[in-house]
Amino acid sequence: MESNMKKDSESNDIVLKSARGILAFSKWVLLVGIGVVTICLLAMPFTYQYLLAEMAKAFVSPPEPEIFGMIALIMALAVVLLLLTLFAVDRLRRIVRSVGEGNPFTHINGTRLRGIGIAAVGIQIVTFCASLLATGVVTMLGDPKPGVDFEMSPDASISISGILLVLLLIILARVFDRGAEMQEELDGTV
Amino acid sequence: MAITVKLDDLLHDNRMTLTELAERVDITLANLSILKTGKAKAMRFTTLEAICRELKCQPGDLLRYEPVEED
Repeated sequence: MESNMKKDSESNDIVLKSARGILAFSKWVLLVGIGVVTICLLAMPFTYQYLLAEMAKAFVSPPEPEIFGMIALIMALAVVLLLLTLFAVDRLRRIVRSVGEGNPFTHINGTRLRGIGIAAVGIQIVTFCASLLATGVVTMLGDPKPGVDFEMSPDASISISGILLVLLLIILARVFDRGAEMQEELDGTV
Repeated sequence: MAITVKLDDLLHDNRMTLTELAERVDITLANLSILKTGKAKAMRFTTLEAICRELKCQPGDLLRYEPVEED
């Protein structure tokens, strides 16, 4: 029994350490991603002519200038998407830290989970809008010239798993709120 | 809270300190202080039993109900 408990706590430690490592790594990857996409977005007005010429080489009908506005909008949405993901990862990192400290049932963790849930809703909406725009861009670009390898089929649809994730997070937030109340009661019990 | 804990009086009657009681009932001094100062929200039957055993009293001797008027 004791050895089982020891084994459990050891495996928990491995799980927690792995979670911490993965989340810290994700945070840095997201920060780099946000930086790169923002730089590309800001550089767009300066590289506009070059991009237009390059695209004219690749597609049968030369691209209309409005297409760059749409691409810039998709990139802006990508920045928003990455920021929302960063927000969720950061909140999750704090929850994992509180689990490591042995006190996860707090009201702040309920609020954090609710925040992740709202971020997940935002991610769903932004992804859907960006996919719609991408479909528009692909349609406007038309057929590529023979010999040019261009294959892109954006899928603009509502994700069922995304909706389930949001529901799960909101319900879990309530579970944590109730857990926090029970923890307070237990702390006041002698 | 309308329930008050008369641990001070019982300790005095039994010539016992809070630290001594804490050792005898195997409850931390911090938890007994919470009980003594009336900050506890709930009390386990095991705690009540241990205190009554060591202080040779009845639960009614330890706890008192004093109605408080709410604004």
